[in-house]
Amino acid sequence: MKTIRSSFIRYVAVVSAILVTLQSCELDEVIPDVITEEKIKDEKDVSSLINGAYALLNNPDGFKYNGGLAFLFLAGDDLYAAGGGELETFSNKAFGPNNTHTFWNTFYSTIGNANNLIDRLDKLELSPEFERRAYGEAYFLRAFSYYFLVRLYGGVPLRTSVTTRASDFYLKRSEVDEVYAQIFADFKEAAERLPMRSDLPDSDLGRATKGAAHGFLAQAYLTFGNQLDLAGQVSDAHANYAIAQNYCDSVINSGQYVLLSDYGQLFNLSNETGAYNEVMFGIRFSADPLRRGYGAAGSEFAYRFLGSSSWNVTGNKPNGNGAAHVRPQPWYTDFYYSGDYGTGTPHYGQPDHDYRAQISNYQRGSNGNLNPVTGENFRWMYMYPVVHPEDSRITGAGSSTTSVIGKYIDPAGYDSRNHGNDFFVMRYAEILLIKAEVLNELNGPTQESIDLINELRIRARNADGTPREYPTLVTLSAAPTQASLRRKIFEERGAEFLAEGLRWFDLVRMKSHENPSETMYDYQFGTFLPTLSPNTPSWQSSQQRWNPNTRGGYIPGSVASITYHPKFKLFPIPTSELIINPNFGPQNPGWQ
Amino acid sequence: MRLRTIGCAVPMEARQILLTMKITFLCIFLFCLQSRATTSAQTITITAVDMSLTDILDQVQKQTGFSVLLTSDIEESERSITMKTKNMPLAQFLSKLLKNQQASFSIREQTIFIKPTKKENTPISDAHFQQLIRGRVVDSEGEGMAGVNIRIKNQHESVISDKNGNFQLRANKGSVLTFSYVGYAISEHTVENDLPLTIVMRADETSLDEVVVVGYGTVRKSDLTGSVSSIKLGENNENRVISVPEALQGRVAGVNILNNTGEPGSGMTFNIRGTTSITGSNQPLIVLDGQPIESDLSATNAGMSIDWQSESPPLDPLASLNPADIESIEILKDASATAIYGSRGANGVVLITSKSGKSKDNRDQISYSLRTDFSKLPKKIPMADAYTYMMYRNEAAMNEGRGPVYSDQEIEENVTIYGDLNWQDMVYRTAHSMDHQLTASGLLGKSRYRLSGNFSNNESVLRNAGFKRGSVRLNFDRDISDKLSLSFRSNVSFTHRKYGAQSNTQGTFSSSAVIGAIASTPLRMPYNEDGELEIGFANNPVLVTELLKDHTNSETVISSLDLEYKITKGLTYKIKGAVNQISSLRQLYWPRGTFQGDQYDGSATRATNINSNYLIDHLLTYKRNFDKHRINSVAGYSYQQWFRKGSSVTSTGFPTDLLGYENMGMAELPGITHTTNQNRALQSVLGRVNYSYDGRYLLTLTGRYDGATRLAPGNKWSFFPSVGLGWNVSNESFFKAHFTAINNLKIRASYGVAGSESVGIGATQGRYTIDHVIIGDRIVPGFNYASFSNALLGWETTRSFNLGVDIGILNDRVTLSADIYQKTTNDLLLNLSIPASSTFRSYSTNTGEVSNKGLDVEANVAILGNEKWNWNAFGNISINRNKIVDMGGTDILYGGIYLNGGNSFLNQSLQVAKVGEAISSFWGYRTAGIYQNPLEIASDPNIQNDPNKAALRPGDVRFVDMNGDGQITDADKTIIGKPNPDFSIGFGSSISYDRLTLSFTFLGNFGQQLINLNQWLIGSLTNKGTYSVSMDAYNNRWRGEGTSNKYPRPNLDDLRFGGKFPDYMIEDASFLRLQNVNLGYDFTIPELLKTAKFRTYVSGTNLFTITNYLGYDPNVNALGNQALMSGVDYGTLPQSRTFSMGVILTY
Repeated sequence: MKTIRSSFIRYVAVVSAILVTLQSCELDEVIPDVITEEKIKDEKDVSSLINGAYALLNNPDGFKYNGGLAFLFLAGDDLYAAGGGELETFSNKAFGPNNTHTFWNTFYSTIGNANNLIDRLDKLELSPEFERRAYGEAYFLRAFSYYFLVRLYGGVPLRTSVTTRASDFYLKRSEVDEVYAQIFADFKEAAERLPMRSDLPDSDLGRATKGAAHGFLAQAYLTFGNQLDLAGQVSDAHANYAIAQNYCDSVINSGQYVLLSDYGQLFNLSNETGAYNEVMFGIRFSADPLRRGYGAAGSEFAYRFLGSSSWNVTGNKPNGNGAAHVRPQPWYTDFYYSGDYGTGTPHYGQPDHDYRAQISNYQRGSNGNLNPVTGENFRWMYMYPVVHPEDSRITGAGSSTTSVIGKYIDPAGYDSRNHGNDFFVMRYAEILLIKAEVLNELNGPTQESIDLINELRIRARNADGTPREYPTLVTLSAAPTQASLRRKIFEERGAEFLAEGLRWFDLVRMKSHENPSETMYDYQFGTFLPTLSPNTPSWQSSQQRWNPNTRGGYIPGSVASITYHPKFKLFPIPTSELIINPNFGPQNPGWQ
Repeated sequence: MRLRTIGCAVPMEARQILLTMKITFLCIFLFCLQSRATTSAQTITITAVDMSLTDILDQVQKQTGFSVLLTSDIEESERSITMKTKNMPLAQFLSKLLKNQQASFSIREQTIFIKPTKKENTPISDAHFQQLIRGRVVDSEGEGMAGVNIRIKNQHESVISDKNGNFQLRANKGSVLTFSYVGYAISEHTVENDLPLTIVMRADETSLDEVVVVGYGTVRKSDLTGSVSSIKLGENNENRVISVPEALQGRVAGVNILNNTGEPGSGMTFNIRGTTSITGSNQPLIVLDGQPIESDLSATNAGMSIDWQSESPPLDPLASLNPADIESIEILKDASATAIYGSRGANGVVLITSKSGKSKDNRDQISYSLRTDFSKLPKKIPMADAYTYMMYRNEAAMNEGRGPVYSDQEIEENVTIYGDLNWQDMVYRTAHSMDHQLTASGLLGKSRYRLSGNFSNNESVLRNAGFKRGSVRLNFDRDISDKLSLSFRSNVSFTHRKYGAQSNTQGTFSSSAVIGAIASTPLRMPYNEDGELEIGFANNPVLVTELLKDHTNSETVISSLDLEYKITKGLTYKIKGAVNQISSLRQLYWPRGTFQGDQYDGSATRATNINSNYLIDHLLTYKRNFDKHRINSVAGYSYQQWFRKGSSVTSTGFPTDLLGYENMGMAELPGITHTTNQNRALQSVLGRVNYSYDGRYLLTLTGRYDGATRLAPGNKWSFFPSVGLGWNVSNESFFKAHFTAINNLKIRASYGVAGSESVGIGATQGRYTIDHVIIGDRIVPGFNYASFSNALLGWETTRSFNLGVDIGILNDRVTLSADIYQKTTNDLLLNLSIPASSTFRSYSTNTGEVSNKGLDVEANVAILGNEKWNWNAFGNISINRNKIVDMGGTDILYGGIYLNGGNSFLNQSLQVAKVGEAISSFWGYRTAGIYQNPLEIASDPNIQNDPNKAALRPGDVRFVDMNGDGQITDADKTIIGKPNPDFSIGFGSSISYDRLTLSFTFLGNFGQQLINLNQWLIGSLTNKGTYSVSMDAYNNRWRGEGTSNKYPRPNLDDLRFGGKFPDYMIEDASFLRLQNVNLGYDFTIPELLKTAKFRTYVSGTNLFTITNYLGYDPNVNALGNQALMSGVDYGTLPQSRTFSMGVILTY
């Protein structure tokens, strides 16, 4: 009995000892399903880091929805929102510090990714060629992010190294010029390392190029120059304009970019690769078969912009119609069908107006794809402000009382929030207008400026191959002063870039032609818009026309009056930043 | 006190001490009887004044040397005896003595037999007479056991064994002696001619009334220093209880248990002594038969964390256990009790003990029971009918200066068509449920077994929803030798959940027929003219209940094998090996007609999840008594490893809804497959010493050293100690001398540290998440920097102090336990918000402090107890105060965001963690009624600088400007309520008379509030969209000066209240509920089945609730799995009202 007992004890002791020893080794944590720092080793892994640094920009909080759509499209005077949840809040100027975290977070996370990428590149041994371009992309994305931040929010905290547990999380906001200095430096570092557009294979489309860096440098120097100008620092402003002009020339002389001969092809999804001969940088979207809706890599511009009465233009089920959450203001639509841009009474499919307006505003209103004679559930729509020529009038047609944006069409989208349309951040056309503008700011009206503007108008007049009368060409006599030419450039930008996310930037950047100490924002919201009637256009079917008394108005959404306040020239710093960061500093003026 | 014997039986009463001495003498005398041949002078001389019969007989014994035996059924006269004799012959004396005592005597061989007169005709057999029984009680080691209580069955007297375990008493041949001792199984012995007796007492770990199961062992209740509540579930399966914790509702002080929703088997909020963690879990550790089992609510939620659109409230993983298999539950509440579980003890520990094999009369016992339930919705919310709804819409339009929406003619037509429509009648039903139990248990030689099977089908009151469970359990114990024994526990269960849109998490009608049934317009029909479901009416509540398929199948295995070896006296080694796995398959299909189905042409999700873990414990237990010292200690090593593997795929674009999710290959757009694989392990060394001196002074020292994979290298190990002190005041002689009514008084105090396990897997490592970008024309993944490496991250630790008192009065007829505690949780594991400009939004860190203070009181009263009557009552009260003391410099953290889309857009958090307030305090705007006239608006200082002032009109809500800047802005948001009750009570009673039993339980919470988020839709009086309106809101709406000060005027606001959440939607959710009532009757089936027992009963659950709450049910917690989203009712299915009946047949 004794031997049995002692051998049993010995057995237990041995087994326990083995178990203890074996199990002790297993406290190392292995995370099989997550990428961790130490798993990043070679160029393939770093390539994924580079992709990751771009990856936030097409997210809902980036350019897809809550960021791009809300900030860039709805804070201006050209578009408004009817429905669409958060979008209305922006449109109605009902937003506040609680609404502005989306873009902020996107850009700071992108900056974090860029800083992390730089840190990894510093630590890893990779091929010089690979490293060079990778550094270039990191600098580019950091500059790109700060450039959006400084324009939207003013001076912001500058974080230029990787965030670790030991980092100071609570940086104070830097001055605007400090942020611009960082932006200029980073874009220049990027430009030195990034490939030319011609060296970028189609399979890399969407990644940064030297030309994109130069383009943003031109635009950023112009923008910073505008700010100095408005602050009365004229000579500093001029120095910046001159640099902007240099970068425009770098782009123009590089021969990397052209104006597409057909403006319409820019927005033809099947020609999207071709569009990148003009597009210098875009946020790429693609109809995503694997993920749905909000989480998809597809864009939702088509759904937000196109009309509910227009079928087979989006991936929205079941009819492929849009929601028309974001629509052009009637006055804005009318403006680009009249004056330099048209006869004032545009006809469907007719060359009596600017081709760009025809592309920008979707004109083919119909809720069905069946033959209008035999089909059921089919109804033509008159899309404001277009009318049909007398010989093709359709009885019983409905009407869409505002025009809808036609630049983003993708019937092959997978669902309402999942389309292939890219967001073009910068096109070569803008380089021409930037150069025209800096020349005007530096020297006043010159033929060189006029010619640059007319390059765009000539393209528009060529339309899709059938020449048009409109828009008329600009002449020196039509814009004899610096202010009047600036105004022309402002208008031209409006015609060229409708619903491309530039309007609000132009409004807050450019000096008013009426009052050089004010911006166009002050002029438009403070002076011009209040003169408009708040009418919704109405269709008079008996006379086959849009009621003239209801045309050209400004629809204030659900807000009782046009809200003008200078505070809207900057977005408020998000509450989430301010309340957590005691070092941040003051909220933007008017938002306290 | 009736004295039955004269001789060796020793009454316990102190007043009998003298007699005892005499009797001891007499015993010795009797033993010598055979050798004594002489006959003394048999005369009696006595002077008795008011003496008892026994006292006199005592004298007789003394004077004669004869022994005196009384038959057991002799009745002692009420009257005392006064008599005087001198040298009276014995027989004459006895005649005189017994003359008035209804007794007669006989004398045989120097023994006087005294028997009742009335039984004179009955021949006196030896069996009637008592003989001396002598014996010794030993434990399983053969050691004599002192203090064992020996009792003749069905009699009141008892003796106690001496310090060597010896005892003697008198008893009739054939009578049964019972031996009982705390912590040991009661042993019985029938008196034969087998003197002297040796009785071996076997330790009984499940003898719960005297021993308490604690972590890794048992402790005598009298030696306990921690705060532990014990509940015996026993045979009670008669109330509708689907998940084990439900059976505890209202039963234990300091424990808050509630079904998050009324869904059968739904997730439970199970908090012990308040919430300690803001962003982590607050669920206690669940230990089943010594095996910590998977109880994480997400364990059954296949795919949920990885596929955003498949969110649904989690099930309770404990619903896979059959409550009828559970013997008892101990709830460890303070650090003295929980520190043995170290890093997992901070939220309390629940020890569940399953029933073991038992045998009655050495035969197998088989029982079958069937319960059938009928459940219904406890109440309907009065909603606008078609007419009222149209009036409401018209009024809203007119208030906005627009024309009426419905003309008189339309109103008339619609009333004809839709007049009686009530969605609540169409989606709810009387649900019918069944529960079958079959159990066999018994002895197989040295083995005991219990085998049980259960099938229960629980229908939800919501149509097409329900929860089914089938389970089999085998508990098998075998004594292989005197030294070696094994114990096997195994449970396999299958569950099937038909979820069916029973509660809301996403804010869409398609995920909750409950919200659809109140907020949908009354001007739509569920069916079209052909009698088919109306697909064109998106999220039609009937369609959602009929066509939406959301099924989860889970299989759970919990199995363990213990091998126990007694090394030497008192020292035992035990090895435990255990496995636990929950595998779930969730299949979900959104058909056309639901939001998701319309968006994607049908959407099917298939998700699997396997949560498994295994455990190895090595335990050494040492229990010895040395004189007055008693030691009970355990030391052990434990290793547990967890695995979680999941996958989920959602495919869309189905040509038809016909096959639902059954043929996913048919999808036009097969989705991406998400997978997870998470592992973790915990390695521990643990120990506890429980020392008791003289049963008076108690000391418990506990410690556990936990090493975790989840912590960073260098910080992997942490230590959790505790100390407990106890003083059994009632065992002090001074106390006994003065407080005879109080039989037990114990004072306990403990202090210690326990942890919470909510450090996320991988949280200490720098991690990247995957996001997608389009490069060229490919959608490619990229790595996003998501968190930095964080080597300092550790457990959150909770230090708790507990002071308790246990009181037993009148032999424990009244028992009372009261504890006050203070729990301080430090190094709070917080997702600390940091400015986004830092790259991240938050990071996990240990900072801050949460405090929970409270009082728990439990009382039990045995009101009546005799052969016919048995009446017990219990009651408890709990008070807890939860407060965030510090969050590492952060003042406020926000909970999740509600209603971030659509017409009911709110898009903000309604719950916060704010320093100085309770966790999940409600966050919104204070209101001060309704503006009654323009003057009030013009003169209101709250809005004197408000830019939106001009837009305000009479009938609008008056918001309060908290910061005094004369504007209503975000800065005016403040704490507007809290989810925690001021106090909770539970009480109940069980009464039995003969074979009839009646029991009931009430529970109540007082001072708690609930966010009635349904009101945002049906009580805002905003008719943007087509939401219906509650009759309460409609009847009490503002419609002119002085008409209402609560609900505003009907309006068409785009954004309800400008996005300001008003405090009137926070409601008092105090309630008192009759949780259950049970009435049963036991039959015996005569003749054929003499040993069969037959019981039948009726019971009711949730029979009535007294409350002012306007919603369905004040006792829900829709998102109870997240501490920072506690206290919200939004489209939440209420607890049903259930009537049950059943039979139990036992053979």
